[in-house]
Amino acid sequence: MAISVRVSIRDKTGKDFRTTEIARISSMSKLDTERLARACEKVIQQTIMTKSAHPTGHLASKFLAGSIPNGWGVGDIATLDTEVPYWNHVDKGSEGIGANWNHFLPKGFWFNGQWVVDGEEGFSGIKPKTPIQALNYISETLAQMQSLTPIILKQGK
Amino acid sequence: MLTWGLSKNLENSLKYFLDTKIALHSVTDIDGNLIPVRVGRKEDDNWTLPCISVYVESKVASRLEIGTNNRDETHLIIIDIYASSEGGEGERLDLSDWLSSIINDGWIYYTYTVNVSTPESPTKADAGWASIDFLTNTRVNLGQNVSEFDQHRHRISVNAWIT
Repeated sequence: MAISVRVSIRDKTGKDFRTTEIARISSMSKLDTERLARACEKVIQQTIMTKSAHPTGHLASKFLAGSIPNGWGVGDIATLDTEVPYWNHVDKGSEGIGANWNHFLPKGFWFNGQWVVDGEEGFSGIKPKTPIQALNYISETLAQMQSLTPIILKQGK
Repeated sequence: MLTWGLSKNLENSLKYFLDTKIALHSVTDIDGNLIPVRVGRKEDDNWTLPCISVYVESKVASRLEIGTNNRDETHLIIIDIYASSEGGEGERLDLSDWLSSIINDGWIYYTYTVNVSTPESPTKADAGWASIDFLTNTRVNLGQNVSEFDQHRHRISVNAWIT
Protein backbone atom coordinates (compact mmCIF):
# COMPACT_ATOMS: atom_id res chain seq x y z
CA MET A 1 0.00 0.00 0.00
CA ALA A 2 1.47 3.32 -1.01
CA ILE A 3 1.31 6.16 1.43
CA SER A 4 1.61 9.73 0.31
CA VAL A 5 2.46 12.43 2.81
CA ARG A 6 1.87 16.09 2.14
CA VAL A 7 3.88 18.53 4.19
CA SER A 8 2.88 22.15 4.39
CA ILE A 9 4.99 24.66 6.25
CA ARG A 10 3.13 27.42 7.99
CA ASP A 11 4.22 30.38 10.01
CA LYS A 12 3.28 30.78 13.64
CA THR A 13 -0.05 32.41 12.80
CA GLY A 14 -0.98 29.54 10.48
CA LYS A 15 -0.42 31.33 7.15
CA ASP A 16 1.40 29.64 4.30
CA PHE A 17 5.09 30.06 5.10
CA ARG A 18 6.16 30.33 1.44
CA THR A 19 3.81 33.26 0.80
CA THR A 20 5.09 35.02 3.91
CA GLU A 21 8.70 34.40 2.92
CA ILE A 22 8.18 35.63 -0.65
CA ALA A 23 6.57 38.82 0.68
CA ARG A 24 9.46 39.31 3.11
CA ILE A 25 12.14 38.77 0.45
CA SER A 26 10.30 41.05 -1.95
CA SER A 27 10.16 43.81 0.66
CA MET A 28 13.86 43.34 1.56
CA SER A 29 14.88 43.42 -2.12
CA LYS A 30 13.04 46.69 -2.65
CA LEU A 31 14.85 48.22 0.30
CA ASP A 32 18.22 46.88 -0.88
CA THR A 33 17.81 48.19 -4.42
CA GLU A 34 16.79 51.58 -3.06
CA ARG A 35 19.85 51.70 -0.80
CA LEU A 36 22.09 50.67 -3.70
CA ALA A 37 20.54 53.35 -5.93
CA ARG A 38 21.01 56.04 -3.30
CA ALA A 39 24.64 55.02 -2.80
CA CYS A 40 25.13 54.95 -6.59
CA GLU A 41 23.68 58.47 -6.82
CA LYS A 42 26.34 59.73 -4.41
CA VAL A 43 29.15 57.88 -6.21
CA ILE A 44 28.22 59.15 -9.68
CA GLN A 45 27.80 62.73 -8.45
CA GLN A 46 31.14 62.63 -6.64
CA THR A 47 32.84 61.06 -9.68
CA ILE A 48 31.56 63.81 -11.99
CA MET A 49 32.58 66.57 -9.58
CA THR A 50 36.02 65.06 -9.01
CA LYS A 51 36.87 64.30 -12.62
CA SER A 52 35.52 67.43 -14.32
CA ALA A 53 38.11 70.10 -14.96
CA HIS A 54 35.68 72.88 -14.12
CA PRO A 55 32.71 71.34 -12.30
CA THR A 56 29.65 73.52 -11.86
CA GLY A 57 27.49 70.83 -10.29
CA HIS A 58 24.82 71.18 -12.98
CA LEU A 59 25.48 67.82 -14.63
CA ALA A 60 25.99 66.01 -11.31
CA SER A 61 22.74 67.38 -9.90
CA LYS A 62 20.75 65.71 -12.69
CA PHE A 63 21.82 62.18 -11.73
CA LEU A 64 19.22 61.31 -9.12
CA ALA A 65 18.02 58.00 -7.72
CA GLY A 66 14.39 57.26 -8.45
CA SER A 67 12.00 54.36 -8.42
CA ILE A 68 11.29 52.65 -11.73
CA PRO A 69 9.06 49.68 -12.55
CA ASN A 70 10.51 46.65 -10.73
CA GLY A 71 13.19 48.54 -8.84
CA TRP A 72 15.27 51.67 -8.59
CA GLY A 73 17.53 53.47 -11.04
CA VAL A 74 19.89 56.44 -11.19
CA GLY A 75 19.61 59.07 -13.91
CA ASP A 76 16.49 59.31 -16.04
CA ILE A 77 17.63 59.37 -19.67
CA ALA A 78 14.69 61.46 -20.90
CA THR A 79 15.44 64.09 -18.24
CA LEU A 80 19.17 63.99 -18.97
CA ASP A 81 18.57 64.37 -22.72
CA THR A 82 16.40 67.41 -22.08
CA GLU A 83 18.25 69.18 -19.29
CA VAL A 84 21.91 68.18 -19.85
CA PRO A 85 22.02 66.96 -23.47
CA TYR A 86 25.85 66.76 -23.35
CA TRP A 87 25.86 64.10 -20.61
CA ASN A 88 26.81 61.29 -22.98
CA HIS A 89 29.45 63.33 -24.81
CA VAL A 90 31.13 64.19 -21.52
CA ASP A 91 31.03 60.55 -20.44
CA LYS A 92 32.33 58.91 -23.62
CA GLY A 93 34.28 61.84 -25.06
CA SER A 94 33.57 63.09 -28.55
CA GLU A 95 34.83 65.06 -31.47
CA GLY A 96 32.06 67.61 -31.09
CA ILE A 97 28.72 68.32 -29.49
CA GLY A 98 26.04 66.98 -31.76
CA ALA A 99 27.81 68.08 -34.91
CA ASN A 100 31.49 68.88 -35.28
CA TRP A 101 34.04 71.37 -34.07
CA ASN A 102 34.14 73.20 -37.34
CA HIS A 103 31.83 76.00 -36.25
CA PHE A 104 32.29 79.44 -34.75
CA LEU A 105 31.48 80.07 -31.12
CA PRO A 106 28.85 82.68 -30.27
CA LYS A 107 30.15 86.04 -29.08
CA GLY A 108 31.73 85.76 -25.66
CA PHE A 109 34.98 85.22 -23.79
CA TRP A 110 36.97 82.56 -22.01
CA PHE A 111 36.64 82.60 -18.25
CA ASN A 112 38.14 80.01 -15.94
CA GLY A 113 38.39 77.46 -18.74
CA GLN A 114 34.84 77.95 -19.99
CA TRP A 115 33.36 79.92 -22.87
CA VAL A 116 30.94 82.50 -21.50
CA VAL A 117 28.40 83.70 -24.06
CA ASP A 118 28.11 87.50 -24.04
CA GLY A 119 25.26 88.82 -26.16
CA GLU A 120 22.34 87.16 -27.91
CA GLU A 121 23.51 87.45 -31.52
CA GLY A 122 26.64 87.13 -33.60
CA PHE A 123 29.69 84.91 -33.67
CA SER A 124 33.12 85.34 -32.20
CA GLY A 125 35.30 84.22 -35.10
CA ILE A 126 36.85 81.59 -32.81
CA LYS A 127 36.67 77.90 -33.59
CA PRO A 128 37.35 75.36 -30.83
CA LYS A 129 40.12 72.91 -31.75
CA THR A 130 40.12 70.28 -29.05
CA PRO A 131 37.65 67.42 -28.70
CA ILE A 132 35.80 66.68 -25.47
CA GLN A 133 37.85 64.37 -23.26
CA ALA A 134 35.98 61.34 -21.93
CA LEU A 135 35.32 61.48 -18.19
CA ASN A 136 34.08 57.86 -18.13
CA TYR A 137 32.03 58.67 -15.05
CA ILE A 138 29.44 55.96 -15.77
CA SER A 139 31.96 53.12 -16.15
CA GLU A 140 33.89 54.36 -13.14
CA THR A 141 30.72 54.45 -11.05
CA LEU A 142 29.92 50.87 -12.10
CA ALA A 143 33.46 49.79 -11.21
CA GLN A 144 33.19 51.40 -7.79
CA MET A 145 29.72 49.98 -7.20
CA GLN A 146 31.03 46.49 -7.93
CA SER A 147 33.20 46.63 -4.83
CA LEU A 148 30.76 48.72 -2.77
CA THR A 149 27.69 46.52 -3.36
CA PRO A 150 28.63 43.68 -0.96
CA ILE A 151 29.48 46.24 1.74
CA ILE A 152 26.18 48.11 1.30
CA LEU A 153 24.17 44.88 1.34
CA LYS A 154 25.95 43.69 4.49
CA GLN A 155 25.14 46.95 6.25
CA GLY A 156 21.44 46.27 5.83
CA LYS A 157 21.51 42.93 7.62
CA MET B 1 63.51 57.03 -15.46
CA LEU B 2 60.68 55.22 -13.69
CA THR B 3 59.97 51.68 -14.79
CA TRP B 4 56.54 51.02 -16.27
CA GLY B 5 53.90 50.49 -13.60
CA LEU B 6 51.06 48.00 -13.50
CA SER B 7 48.60 50.18 -15.44
CA LYS B 8 50.95 50.79 -18.35
CA ASN B 9 52.01 47.13 -18.40
CA LEU B 10 48.35 46.12 -18.44
CA GLU B 11 47.54 48.45 -21.33
CA ASN B 12 50.46 47.22 -23.40
CA SER B 13 49.82 43.56 -22.56
CA LEU B 14 46.28 43.99 -23.87
CA LYS B 15 47.53 45.74 -27.00
CA TYR B 16 50.02 42.95 -27.63
CA PHE B 17 47.30 40.33 -27.10
CA LEU B 18 44.88 42.08 -29.46
CA ASP B 19 47.55 42.70 -32.12
CA THR B 20 48.45 39.00 -32.03
CA LYS B 21 44.83 37.87 -32.29
CA ILE B 22 44.04 40.38 -35.04
CA ALA B 23 46.90 38.99 -37.11
CA LEU B 24 45.97 35.39 -36.27
CA HIS B 25 42.29 35.81 -37.16
CA SER B 26 42.95 38.20 -40.06
CA VAL B 27 40.69 40.90 -38.63
CA THR B 28 40.85 43.48 -41.39
CA ASP B 29 38.94 46.48 -42.68
CA ILE B 30 37.13 46.39 -46.00
CA ASP B 31 40.41 47.07 -47.85
CA GLY B 32 42.17 44.12 -46.24
CA ASN B 33 44.28 46.15 -43.78
CA LEU B 34 44.74 44.77 -40.28
CA ILE B 35 42.83 46.81 -37.68
CA PRO B 36 45.31 48.91 -35.68
CA VAL B 37 45.23 48.96 -31.88
CA ARG B 38 46.23 52.16 -30.09
CA VAL B 39 47.04 52.69 -26.43
CA GLY B 40 45.49 55.85 -25.03
CA ARG B 41 42.72 58.26 -25.83
CA LYS B 42 42.25 59.78 -29.24
CA GLU B 43 44.40 62.88 -28.98
CA ASP B 44 45.59 63.70 -32.46
CA ASP B 45 44.44 63.67 -36.05
CA ASN B 46 46.68 60.89 -37.35
CA TRP B 47 44.33 58.12 -36.27
CA THR B 48 42.59 56.32 -39.08
CA LEU B 49 39.31 54.45 -39.20
CA PRO B 50 38.69 51.73 -38.21
CA CYS B 51 40.79 51.39 -35.07
CA ILE B 52 40.63 50.16 -31.50
CA SER B 53 41.89 52.16 -28.55
CA VAL B 54 42.61 50.78 -25.09
CA TYR B 55 43.54 52.55 -21.88
CA VAL B 56 43.39 52.13 -18.13
CA GLU B 57 41.06 54.77 -16.75
CA SER B 58 41.31 54.21 -13.00
CA LYS B 59 41.67 51.58 -10.33
CA VAL B 60 39.81 50.48 -7.23
CA ALA B 61 41.87 49.04 -4.38
CA SER B 62 39.59 47.73 -1.67
CA ARG B 63 41.15 46.06 1.38
CA LEU B 64 41.65 42.37 0.78
CA GLU B 65 41.57 41.18 4.39
CA ILE B 66 41.44 42.54 7.91
CA GLY B 67 44.83 42.91 9.57
CA THR B 68 47.03 43.55 6.56
CA ASN B 69 47.42 46.26 3.99
CA ASN B 70 47.02 43.84 1.11
CA ARG B 71 44.75 45.25 -1.56
CA ASP B 72 42.35 43.71 -4.00
CA GLU B 73 43.18 45.90 -6.99
CA THR B 74 40.95 46.05 -10.04
CA HIS B 75 41.64 48.26 -13.03
CA LEU B 76 38.96 49.90 -15.12
CA ILE B 77 39.93 49.44 -18.78
CA ILE B 78 38.14 51.37 -21.51
CA ILE B 79 38.15 49.80 -24.97
CA ASP B 80 36.81 52.08 -27.71
CA ILE B 81 36.10 50.67 -31.15
CA TYR B 82 36.10 53.40 -33.80
CA ALA B 83 34.42 51.63 -36.71
CA SER B 84 33.76 53.00 -40.17
CA SER B 85 30.38 51.36 -40.70
CA GLU B 86 27.39 50.30 -38.68
CA GLY B 87 25.01 47.84 -40.27
CA GLY B 88 25.81 47.33 -43.95
CA GLU B 89 29.26 45.81 -43.63
CA GLY B 90 28.56 45.40 -39.93
CA GLU B 91 32.01 46.54 -38.90
CA ARG B 92 31.04 47.93 -35.50
CA LEU B 93 28.88 44.94 -34.63
CA ASP B 94 31.37 42.37 -35.93
CA LEU B 95 34.35 44.00 -34.25
CA SER B 96 32.58 44.36 -30.91
CA ASP B 97 31.36 40.75 -30.98
CA TRP B 98 34.79 39.46 -31.95
CA LEU B 99 36.58 41.60 -29.37
CA SER B 100 34.31 40.74 -26.45
CA SER B 101 34.62 37.03 -27.18
CA ILE B 102 38.41 37.21 -27.57
CA ILE B 103 39.05 39.02 -24.26
CA ASN B 104 36.51 36.99 -22.33
CA ASP B 105 39.05 34.46 -21.07
CA GLY B 106 41.66 37.11 -20.23
CA TRP B 107 45.21 37.48 -21.52
CA ILE B 108 48.84 37.12 -20.44
CA TYR B 109 50.02 40.01 -18.30
CA TYR B 110 53.57 41.12 -19.13
CA THR B 111 55.92 43.46 -17.31
CA TYR B 112 57.89 45.66 -19.69
CA THR B 113 61.44 46.91 -19.28
CA VAL B 114 62.34 49.88 -21.40
CA ASN B 115 65.79 49.95 -22.91
CA VAL B 116 67.11 53.49 -23.33
CA SER B 117 68.80 52.69 -26.65
CA THR B 118 65.65 51.11 -28.15
CA PRO B 119 62.68 52.63 -26.30
CA GLU B 120 60.26 51.65 -29.07
CA SER B 121 60.73 47.94 -28.37
CA PRO B 122 60.73 47.26 -24.63
CA THR B 123 61.60 43.82 -23.30
CA LYS B 124 58.61 41.94 -21.90
CA ALA B 125 58.39 39.14 -19.36
CA ASP B 126 55.42 36.91 -18.54
CA ALA B 127 54.18 38.01 -15.08
CA GLY B 128 50.67 36.65 -14.64
CA TRP B 129 47.21 36.48 -16.11
CA ALA B 130 44.72 39.32 -16.53
CA SER B 131 41.10 38.34 -15.91
CA ILE B 132 38.09 40.54 -16.51
CA ASP B 133 34.50 41.29 -15.66
CA PHE B 134 32.45 43.12 -18.27
CA LEU B 135 30.91 46.38 -17.05
CA THR B 136 29.43 47.83 -20.24
CA ASN B 137 29.35 46.74 -23.85
CA THR B 138 27.33 49.08 -25.99
CA ARG B 139 27.16 51.46 -28.94
CA VAL B 140 28.17 55.03 -28.17
CA ASN B 141 25.15 57.03 -29.23
CA LEU B 142 25.99 60.72 -29.47
CA GLY B 143 22.96 61.67 -31.53
CA GLN B 144 22.61 62.69 -35.15
CA ASN B 145 25.09 64.50 -37.35
CA VAL B 146 28.22 63.64 -35.38
CA SER B 147 31.75 63.51 -36.78
CA GLU B 148 32.85 60.40 -38.67
CA PHE B 149 34.99 59.21 -35.73
CA ASP B 150 31.94 59.26 -33.48
CA GLN B 151 29.40 57.87 -35.93
CA HIS B 152 30.08 54.17 -35.43
CA ARG B 153 31.72 54.00 -32.05
CA HIS B 154 31.37 51.12 -29.65
CA ARG B 155 32.60 51.02 -26.10
CA ILE B 156 33.47 48.05 -23.94
CA SER B 157 34.48 48.74 -20.35
CA VAL B 158 35.88 45.99 -18.16
CA ASN B 159 37.22 45.54 -14.67
CA ALA B 160 40.56 43.71 -14.84
CA TRP B 161 42.71 42.11 -12.19
CA ILE B 162 46.01 40.25 -12.24
CA THR B 163 46.52 36.78 -10.81
